Amino acid sequence: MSKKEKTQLVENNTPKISALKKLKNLYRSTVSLNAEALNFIWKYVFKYILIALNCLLPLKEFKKVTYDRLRYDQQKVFVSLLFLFPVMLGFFLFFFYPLLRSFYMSFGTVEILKTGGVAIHFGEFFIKNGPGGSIDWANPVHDPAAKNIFFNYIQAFTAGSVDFPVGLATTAWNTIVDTAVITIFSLLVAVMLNGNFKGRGIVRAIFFLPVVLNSEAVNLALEASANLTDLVGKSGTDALRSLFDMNAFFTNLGIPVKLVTFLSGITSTIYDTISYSGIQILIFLAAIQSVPRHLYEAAKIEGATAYESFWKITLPMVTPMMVPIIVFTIVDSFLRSDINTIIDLQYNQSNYGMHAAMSWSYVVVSVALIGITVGILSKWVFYYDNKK
Amino acid sequence: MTTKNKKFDMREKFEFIKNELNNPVKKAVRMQKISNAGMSILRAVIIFGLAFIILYPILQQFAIAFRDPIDINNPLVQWIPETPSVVNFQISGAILNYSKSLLNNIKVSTICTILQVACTALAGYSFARLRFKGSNIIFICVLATLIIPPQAVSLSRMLYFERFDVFGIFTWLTGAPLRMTGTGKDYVLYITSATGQGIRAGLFVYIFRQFFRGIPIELEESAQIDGAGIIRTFWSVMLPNARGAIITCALFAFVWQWNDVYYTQLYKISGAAFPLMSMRLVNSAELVWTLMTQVEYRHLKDLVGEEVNGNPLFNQTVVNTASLMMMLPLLIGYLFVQRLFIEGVERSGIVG
Repeated sequence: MSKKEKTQLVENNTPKISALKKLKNLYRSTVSLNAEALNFIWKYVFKYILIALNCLLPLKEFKKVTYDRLRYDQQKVFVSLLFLFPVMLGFFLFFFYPLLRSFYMSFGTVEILKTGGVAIHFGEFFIKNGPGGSIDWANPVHDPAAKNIFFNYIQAFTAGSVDFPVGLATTAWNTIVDTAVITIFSLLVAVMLNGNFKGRGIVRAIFFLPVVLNSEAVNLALEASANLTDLVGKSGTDALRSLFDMNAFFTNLGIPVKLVTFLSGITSTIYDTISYSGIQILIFLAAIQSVPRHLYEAAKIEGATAYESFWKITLPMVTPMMVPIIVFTIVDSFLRSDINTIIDLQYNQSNYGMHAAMSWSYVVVSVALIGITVGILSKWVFYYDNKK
Repeated sequence: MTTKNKKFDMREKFEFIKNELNNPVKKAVRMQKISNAGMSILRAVIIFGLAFIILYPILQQFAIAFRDPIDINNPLVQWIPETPSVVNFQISGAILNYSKSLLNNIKVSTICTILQVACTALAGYSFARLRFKGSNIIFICVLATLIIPPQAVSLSRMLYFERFDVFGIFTWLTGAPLRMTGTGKDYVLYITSATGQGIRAGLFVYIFRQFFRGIPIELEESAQIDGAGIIRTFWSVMLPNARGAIITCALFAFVWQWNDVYYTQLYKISGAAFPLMSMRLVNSAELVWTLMTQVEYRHLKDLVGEEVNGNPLFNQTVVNTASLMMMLPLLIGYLFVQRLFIEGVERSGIVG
């Protein structure tokens, strides 16, 4: 509206401007704009490209003098370091340093400064005297109960949060069970998918679908919505709820209720298992396919059944891959466990020191678990032609 | 005569069949055949059952998504909606801010995937073939990033990113440390992906390392004899052979980045100006109510009707549809990539 009015006003005031002149003006303005853009490109892009190219020319000479004169194995080391540079940079900058800092944080109290920075009070603990259960940093009061620097750890395992030690134990136990179930299940599925049958392509595509569809975001959202439904009350009829729920679907089909509950118990577990074992199935499948064919042929000629050749050939040949799979599964199931919500609670209450202490105890448990399993497994791993 | 002959014939045949049945070799063959048939039937049943378990939730989501909100309490509608409608999609689209967040998601996931695959492939190759003294130590460091849960690092990393200042470079350059967290600062993800600290990058390094070990060393040696340098060998000989591993890793990296809540939440990247789908979806259960009361979305309220609006099942339906909408691009992409991906697994020989 306003634009139209403006143009009308302009036309009323200066009616003598012809269309040609308008076009000319337009052309001029665009040209000037282009000139500006060109200027910009020259100033900020082109110039630097040229400079970079100029820099590259002597670089080639430089390479001739240095890199090309190296022996082949020296070149190898150089290129290797070049290839590893980003990973090493990331490791030290974004992993190792924060890890050390979090270790340091776990022995003290963290103060978030108003300027945005962080101050770590090593070995000092304060009473929460501020508003909303936070520490009043204007006049901090030392906690008389804190007698040594392990205060955060003691607090985490005793008075601070009752849930934490229990949660940690449950998580460790669940992880062991999960890992066993997922590893065995994924091995069986991989063996099954490896066979030759009609429609193998489609079946494989379906079996890897949970890899794509297993989303934390979706799970969280559906959970939140279900919680809300429980909170508000069950005002809806059973119609839609039955669709949300597999049990009701089967009961409606006329299958006995007891059988349905039994089956649905299994299926929900299987769905969870299958959606968390995508990458394990993948690795096992690749491992099985790399087993030399002639071993199976020899076994068949000797009269071994499929069952025997699984135990005597497939399983031993797959064991080298067992270690990474089990490590990955343990880490993954630790990440999914409820303990994270307990730890995150400390973050929400801005007990950063406590958060760090809890995280570190969690790391210790998880790494210990991995160490024990790998230690047990490594005796059992079989290396064909000793290629490690 | 003829009857006698026939009888004799019958007896002979009977004898023959009896012998056949008792023949140990044929017995074994028969048993093998029966057990094979039994196994394949069992396998078919198990595969069918598992496929059903996997597909059921997806079909369910589709059935719920196309259901008209008016039909929510209609007990007659079970699977196929009586009055199919796209109202749920309109509402979910508004909740997810779909047009914006889809573009953002594609941008973030694609760039992260490319950077992550490039970085981890280089590292994997150097661990597999360009070994030197101490490269094992670096490999253990990389494995440590995989083994140590990110929770231990993430908080202090976030605090570190709040005022990012390596050796005081940023203070020297701009006068203040760089704040790398906040809405729309998606470059944090690119930086972490490019330096091998993306989502489970350690696993990708491991996969690439195993993969490059599996490629015969003669291939490399012949390239070297033909005069190719190390980088040339990697680029023109090894990488084209690594298609399977690249596709596998790229698919996982893309999907994990797409679904990522943890880092997006930690770095506070998603916001009104830069919506990312996963964060919008996580908050969608609360967003439904607030959205319906806003003036600009009044037409949605009219579409739904007042009485359905307060129904918690309606909320659940909308959240379901929203999650379907988030998954849909991945699902469509998977349909296209699936063939390549599975072929890749087949040929990958991830295991040396």
